[in-house]
Amino acid sequence: MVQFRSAAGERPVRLSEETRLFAWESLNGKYGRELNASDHLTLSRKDTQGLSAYQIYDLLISKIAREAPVRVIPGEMLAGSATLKAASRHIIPVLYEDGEMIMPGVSHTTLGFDRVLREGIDRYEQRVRERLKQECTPKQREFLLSLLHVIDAMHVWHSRYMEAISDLEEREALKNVPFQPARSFREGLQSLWFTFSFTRLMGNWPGIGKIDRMLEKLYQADKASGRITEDQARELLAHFFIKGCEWVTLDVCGSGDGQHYQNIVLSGLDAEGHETAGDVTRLILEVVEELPIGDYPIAVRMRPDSPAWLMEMVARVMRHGSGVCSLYNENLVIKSLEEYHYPHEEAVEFANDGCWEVQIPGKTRFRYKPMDAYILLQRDVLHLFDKEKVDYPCFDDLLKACFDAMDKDMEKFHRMADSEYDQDRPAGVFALLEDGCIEKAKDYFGGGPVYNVYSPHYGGLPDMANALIAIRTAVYEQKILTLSEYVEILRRDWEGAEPFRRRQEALKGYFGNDSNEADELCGLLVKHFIDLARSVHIRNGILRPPGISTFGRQIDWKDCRGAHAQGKKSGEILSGNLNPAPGTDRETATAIIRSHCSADLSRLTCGTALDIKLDPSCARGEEGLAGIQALIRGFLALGGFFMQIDVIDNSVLLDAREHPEKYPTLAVRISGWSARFVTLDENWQRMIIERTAMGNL
Amino acid sequence: MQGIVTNIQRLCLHDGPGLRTTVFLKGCPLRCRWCHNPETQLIRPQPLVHTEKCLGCGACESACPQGCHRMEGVRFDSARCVFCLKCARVCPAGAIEICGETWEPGPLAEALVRDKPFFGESGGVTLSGGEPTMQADFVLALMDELRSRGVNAALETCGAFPKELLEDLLIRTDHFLWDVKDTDPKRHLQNTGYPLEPILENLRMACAAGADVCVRGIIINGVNAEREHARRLGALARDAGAKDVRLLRFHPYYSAKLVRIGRPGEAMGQEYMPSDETMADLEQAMRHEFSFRA
Repeated sequence: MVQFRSAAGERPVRLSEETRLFAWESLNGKYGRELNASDHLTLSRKDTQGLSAYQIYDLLISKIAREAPVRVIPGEMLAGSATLKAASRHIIPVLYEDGEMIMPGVSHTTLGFDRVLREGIDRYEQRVRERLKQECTPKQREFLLSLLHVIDAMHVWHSRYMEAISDLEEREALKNVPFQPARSFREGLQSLWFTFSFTRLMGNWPGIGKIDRMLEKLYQADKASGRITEDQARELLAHFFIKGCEWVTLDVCGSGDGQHYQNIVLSGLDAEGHETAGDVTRLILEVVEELPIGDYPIAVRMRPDSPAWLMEMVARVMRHGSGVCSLYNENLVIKSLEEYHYPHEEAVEFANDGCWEVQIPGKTRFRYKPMDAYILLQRDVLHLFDKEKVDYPCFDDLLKACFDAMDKDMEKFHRMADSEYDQDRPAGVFALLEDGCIEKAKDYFGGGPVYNVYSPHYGGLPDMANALIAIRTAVYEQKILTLSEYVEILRRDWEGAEPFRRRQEALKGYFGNDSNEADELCGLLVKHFIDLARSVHIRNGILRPPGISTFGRQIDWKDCRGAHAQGKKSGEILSGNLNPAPGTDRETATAIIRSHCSADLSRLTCGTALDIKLDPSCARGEEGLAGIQALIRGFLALGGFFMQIDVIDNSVLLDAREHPEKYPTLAVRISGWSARFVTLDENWQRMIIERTAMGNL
Repeated sequence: MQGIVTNIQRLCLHDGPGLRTTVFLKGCPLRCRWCHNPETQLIRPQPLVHTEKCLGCGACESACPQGCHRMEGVRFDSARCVFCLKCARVCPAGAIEICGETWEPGPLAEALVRDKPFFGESGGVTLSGGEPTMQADFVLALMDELRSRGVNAALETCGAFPKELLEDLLIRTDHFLWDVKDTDPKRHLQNTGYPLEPILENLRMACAAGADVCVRGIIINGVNAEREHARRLGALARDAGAKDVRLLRFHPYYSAKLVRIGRPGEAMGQEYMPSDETMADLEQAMRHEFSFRA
């Protein structure tokens, strides 16, 4: 019998043996490795010569639909597959013969899959044809015709599946969808998977959205009429998750092996203020409690008054690790969106871009700009990388210099957002499923979606606060040395100053320890950034909601940064997102949560993430369950935005690094996604290991 | 009024109901051979040496009037320590910590309730040690401060306090975690240096007054890991009227603490740690007796 266990104990068994075996095979890369044989299709350059961008796009999409291999796995309950592996590399998987990419894919948006389930793609075709009858420029007409090509390609792909499938039930479930509205729970799930995997096959990375809201009514209707049992629905949902592992190969690949790791969002309030969490929500959580699948990551929308069963179920899933389950503080997120002038009925629909950046699904074009705020301190304020003499007579002058550097940096961002947002390239697969594109006859990149967002994302703010604290203590309070002497030491990467380095490293008041001083300073930096981002709400039709993130970029940034005033040598990996830097947080998870939440995050509309790593000893038994719920409760009460709790035994990670063959499926939370630990490269593994484990016994 | 605290530990899941913050107070009348918090026995501040942070500069060696510090071999031997703390003050690397911080009840309560948003209905603050009642006036004042902030208080005690104190404790303590080190009076005296009977008398009085008491007994191989002790523990908890009774397993992980306080070589080793099977067997014997009602 296949049974999964975690460091917190045995996982429950509710699914059939066949489904658990299917999960085991998928997680061990059986189906992902099969796809290595069908990486991409090819075209010669003369095939595209003289064609417009839209003509090339249409050619690629049609070719994939006609020629990509169809895959039907015996026993699977959902039809469809993204069978060209190159799609996992964010490109349309048709390449020139010499291997050069022809067109890239699109990502960072949750498409309107809910509307597909409700209306069916045929209705989309009707909308496109109606729009074609209205006044159009030639460019608009070319775009709308491209959308019809996309729909044709879906038909081709669909008919090839209908021919290949022999299982009667599976054929029946696929027959009408996604072209007609889904009439049953199975059709709904099939419609979602087929449409999602089609967009993936075409090289795109869309988020999935609020799957429980899409399916709850269909499930309840089926259940009431006796067409489905709870166990059958759970099996189907499990297959949806297992299909999400179809790219898993267990090959080392930087931030994890290629996967469908796009977020699902669960539960939360609807426009009338009713909680939407229901049976489907519970069944999904039961599936991921049983199967160690980090794909797709789940983000649960929670409030202090969320149903008790939901809070407990989330804790039950979290304690098994894999980082599969995270949560939004939905009251804060909705308030933030409304305050950013999103209408209430839109704000309550929030999901994410497939990671955790908040957006209105099916209506948003999303792009974000990652920026390292900490380098501003090192490069522009302390002049670590040039020989300029540094002299700030008092700490306030130093802080003001930081603010000035941020001012310039954000001014640059706004100018860039004005000029570089539009990319003018075809993206019909995305545009078809984005509200606004058909009606405006404008593509995804051409201003078609209802909301066009370019979000500035700062990282390194906790490191900036920590460095300032270190300098304030030694230079302006204890007067151990002058600032220029301090800078000289940093330019030498602490050479000849080891006792002083240790002293600075050992300071207690760094960010993440619930220290008022550090939290206030970090809060000031956060506030200044938010003010700068929001100084331009909308310009050139582009919204600029701020976010704080690194998404693992602290690994790349380490090579651009110098030595750190907080007692670390150059080359150290520092803070991720709005988390403490590894090793500086000496208190527990509650202190980290308090520090993280001390800034006013309600104005950080695009969001930020807190990563909490707990030792399994804190998660076992009823006490562990109560402990995780207490952390969630506190996070919500203190005004956090988004939190991901992972339960990992560091000794297991160290062993897995040495003996990857023993831990093929060990999944860990990275940032907005999870990945199999053994498929992370050395730097990413180091980042996860060094993330502080918290919790006392 | 001031108290001396060794540590504040947050996110504690096993020190009473719910999620709790535990404060460890200095001073204890017992000298248990297996004491897991040996840095709390003395009521005064003392040096705590973290050799892993040592730069080997020798500043402590030069500053210590008693010759407790060496740069080779046994780095810190506190046998002659007079607690002048000069060593901690001169260490440039922060490798010598002063264990024992002075607090007023109000500010301490303020620090302890920082995790109130996480406590929910059941969690709160646990006073531990050492034996908290060694600083009785401070403990009572601290509990008053906690109550005024709407936070419940649990007291982890070995029960070794003057019985006159009980009334004051009863009106302020929401949960007692009552550690009975042994049920054999002779062994108790031998291994802790303190008689058992006054502890049990306090326990019976507390239970009789309606206190919420959980009796806890540590199990140590070669000392008391025997069914008879487990049964006696279950019976005395039952007869006293305790709400619950639990067994705690001895573990040897405190040896590093002994090195830090300059008492290396006193630790009881792995062989004293009972196996899972022993714990399960004794748990059953204890639980059977505790739940047996005549």
